Order: sequence, then C-alpha cells, then structure tokens
Amino acid sequence: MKKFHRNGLHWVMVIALIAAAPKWWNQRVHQETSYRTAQFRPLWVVQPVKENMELQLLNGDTLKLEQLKFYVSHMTLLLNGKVMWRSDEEGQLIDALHPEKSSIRLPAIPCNELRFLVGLDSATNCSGNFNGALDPVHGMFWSWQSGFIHFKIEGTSTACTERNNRFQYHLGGYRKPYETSDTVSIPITSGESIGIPLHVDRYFSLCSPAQQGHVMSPGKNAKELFQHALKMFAP
Amino acid sequence: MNRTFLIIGLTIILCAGFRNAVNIWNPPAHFPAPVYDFKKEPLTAEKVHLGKLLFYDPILSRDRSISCASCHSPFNAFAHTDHDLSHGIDDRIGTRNAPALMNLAWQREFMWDVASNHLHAQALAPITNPQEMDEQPENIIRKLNRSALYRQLFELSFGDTFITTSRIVVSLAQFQLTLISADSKYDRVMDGREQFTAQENNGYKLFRQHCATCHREPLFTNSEFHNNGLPGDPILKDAGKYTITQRPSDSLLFKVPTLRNVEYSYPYMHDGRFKTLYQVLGHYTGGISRSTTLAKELQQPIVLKPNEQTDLVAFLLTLSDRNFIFNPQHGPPRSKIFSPPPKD
Repeated sequence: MKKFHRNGLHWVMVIALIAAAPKWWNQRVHQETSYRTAQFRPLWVVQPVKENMELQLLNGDTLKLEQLKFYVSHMTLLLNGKVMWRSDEEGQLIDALHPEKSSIRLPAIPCNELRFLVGLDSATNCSGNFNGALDPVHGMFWSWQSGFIHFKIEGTSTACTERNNRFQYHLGGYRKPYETSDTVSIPITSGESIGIPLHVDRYFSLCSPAQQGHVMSPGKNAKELFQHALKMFAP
Repeated sequence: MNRTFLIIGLTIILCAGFRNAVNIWNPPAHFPAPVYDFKKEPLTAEKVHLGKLLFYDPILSRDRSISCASCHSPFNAFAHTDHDLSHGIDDRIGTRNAPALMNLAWQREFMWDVASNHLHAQALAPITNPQEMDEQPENIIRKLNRSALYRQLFELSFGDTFITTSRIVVSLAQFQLTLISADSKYDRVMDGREQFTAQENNGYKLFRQHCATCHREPLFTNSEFHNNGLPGDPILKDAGKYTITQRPSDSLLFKVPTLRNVEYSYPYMHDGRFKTLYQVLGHYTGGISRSTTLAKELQQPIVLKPNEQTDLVAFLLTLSDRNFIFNPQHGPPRSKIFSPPPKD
C-alpha cells in the first residue's frame, strides 16, 4: 500500500509535468521569438491619408475620411507557399486612420507572403465572444442582428446628398449568400517592419458617395461594396 | 505525515476548483444535450448571482427606468403580459412581443427573427435598441464602475474588478441559463409520478397529431423558424427572418416558441395578437393565410371540434410549471442596490 502511494504520487508528478510542458515550451518560444510590425498605411494614390484630410475625387468632388476600420483574422506567414506561422487570435481590429492602432505584430521568421482574412469568419461571428478587439464598445458590432461590421468607412463628401453630406458604409454579414470576408495575400520582404498600403482611392473610384451615401446592413449592396473595399489591398 | 498533508492539500485545491460548479447546472434527465458550450464558459454561483442582479437592475437602460425584467417578468414565465408589443424606455412601443425565457441552454438562435446567434449576443439587442433600453455598453460599463458593490461582484466573478461588455453579457447569460422549466405535470407524467386525466390524455393525442412537429417534445419547440400563416400586420409590416437574412425564402418566418408555461406567457405570437389559447387554436383551424413560404405542416387544414379544442387546451395547461414561476432563485433579488438609483 505504501509502495502504491509512493508510486501514485510519482505518477501525479509526472502527469503534472507533462501537462505543464506545452505551456512552458510556448512561453519559452514566445520569449525567444523576436517580432516585427506590419503597419496598414492608407494612401490616396501616393499620398498618405489622414483623418479629415481633403481628398480629391476624379470628378472634382472632394471627401474627408473620418473612419476607416476593419477586422483582419487568420493571419498567416508563408515562405514559398508553405505555412510558417499562423496566428491564433480570433480577430484584430485595424483603425487605419490612427497609426497607433493600425499595426499588427508578427514573428520575425523567414517568409515572403502574408495572408489574412479581411473580416471575421462565421464561427467568430457566432461565437458569443466579445473580448478584446471583439468588444462592441469598438462600434463594430450590430446588436440588432448579431454580427460584426467587418469594414467601416465613414466621412463626408461634397457630392453626398445624405444629411450633413455624410456617407456611412458599414459592411458586414456572415450568412450566405451575403457573407463579407475574403482572403488577401500580400508579398512581403524581410526587414523589421512591413508597410501594407491601403489604396483608398480605388474604393472611391468604384463607390461614389454621390450615388450611394450609405449601406449599413448585410445584403447584396454590402457584399458589393466589400468587394470594392478589398481592392484597397491589391498590390 | 507530509504525504498525508500533500494529499489533503491537493484534494482541497481540486475541490475548491469545482466548488462553484456544483448544484448550479442540473439539466433534466429527459432533455437532450444542451447547445450552450458549458466547457468554454462553465456556470459559477458568482456569475449567476451577478447576472441576476444585472437582469433586474434598470442601470442597463439609458435613464435607469427599465430592466430586463421589465419585459421578462418571472411571474409571466419571463414574458410580458401587459403588452402585445414590448414596452421600452420613454413609453416607447417596440415591434415584437417579448418572448418567454426558459430552457435557453437548448437554443442556438434567439429572437423572433434569428437576430441573435448566441445567448451572449442576445442581451445586447434589447439593451441597444432605441425602442427598448436605448443604452450603449460603454455607458453601462461607466455606470457599473461607479458602484463599489458591482466592482466587488465582478472581482468575485472574474478575479478582478475590470468590467467589460463580455463579462456583462456572460453574467446575464449565466443567470438566464439557470431558468430551467422541467417540473410541469407533463414532466411528472412522463417519468411516472402522475397521470393525465382522460381529457388531458385526449388533448395530448391531439397535440401529437397536430402540433408536435414544430412544438417538439420535451422542449416543446423545434427551435426552427416557420411561417405559421398569420396574416401580415399592415402597420408593422414585419417580414420576420427575411429582415435579417434578406433571403426571399425566409419571408414571414418566425421562431417557433416553446409551449412550456404557455398558460403564463400570453399574449401569443410574435406581435402578441392573440390573448387566449382558444384564439390561437382559432387561427390554426380557420385563420391560415396562404403564401409561398407557409410551413408544409400547415398546408392541409387542421380540423378540431370545440370539445377537442377544450381537450387540447387542457393538455397545454399541463405544461405549466409553478415551481419555475415561483422559484425564489429566479425572482427579484433582495438588495438595496437599485434604490435610490444614482444619477449621472
């Protein structure tokens, strides 16, 4: 009986060590891995865009951006098509008009491609998780129909006929056939930081605030405008 | 000796870890497996208690005038019998009847039109709806942070005083998950403790023949969305699930409600148009409005003689669960927390 107790205790210790090992290893890897940042940089042709900066449309109208926010998820680093690292975060919120809120941290490992989902997948939309970037206080959750706004673009335009010339595009939805999330791929090079250009002018070359001042619920229009928003990421 | 202390110590630590999970979640044996993921979010006594206080506290509304319980009264099976449509802040009237709340761990989607895809998300809909509580999560967090009691309760529940939207909705969900109704006469008959009367028994047969496909036992709902042939309301113009999905096939589809405690949860239907069960039966036996999305179960007319309708209602009354309705654990908390409401 004594022997059993002694052996039993040994087994408890062995199991405890095995259970703790992955955490210890992860922490060790975490401590030893160096990181670099990837920064989303909104551009109007070649000019960096700032909040409320006057931007000239091709037809002579002007607009000012007040909000340019979107979710990114399933962040993946690849080397020649092979997955080298995959983020386990459910989603990160990029506030592109505020540099301090528009970067993501990536491990500094050999890679030549960054791939991610613009928006959140349906599982995250239905998870009931409202922690961190998913907190509704960020203004990216539709409580009236339980879903996240994947892409939010707001501002004013002289040509917009809405009240106070304000345009509002709240693009989201996870139910088929109007789901609004898609994977984009960015070629990257080694270095301490990565700049990811966001070609805002491309979106407004396809979506005119004069023609369509607001879209604020999931559906056909939101899906169409979301496809236009994806063009911001094209190299 | 040292080994004995070690074993006792380990036992205490293990027991402490499970202390709060004991006796809170007691699912009825005859119910199916719940949909809610208790592994991800285990029930604790502290969170349930906090959720109950929040549920009954008008602090969740913009002007601290109404709480969740204002429209979900325990004495009406957590529905609202005073109004056909929900009665919100500033005497505003909503567009839907407040549904009864019970057995929520077995539901995947919430609201009459599939608007909420998770119990955690559900609470945010009435809180932020301008016709209902008209409040924003950031304001609620600010108000709760001013309360020493709430800061303490959040610390007890989550380990620190940090108040977030997630913690608020998780606590509200935890309380609502404890609202289990499974002790009606029907349940006692099913496990052999009681017997139906002849009238109830005949009503049960009629129920199984005409109603049980959608109001599936033992939850008395299949948790699906159907067009039950209600003529459209010309003022509300409510398209139901279509409003959310924009799919034509979802036009006029509404959630099938549970029939448990139906005696207490009147008025009936998504817009509260029927005040009595006999009016409901009148609809199903002679008021069906035909449209392309009408439920297949209602394509053929349902014929019920007056005495059969009486028998069917007698059966439906066996779904009343007085122990649920008058359970003090579900009722308003005895706390001074709500009065006087501090003003901003």
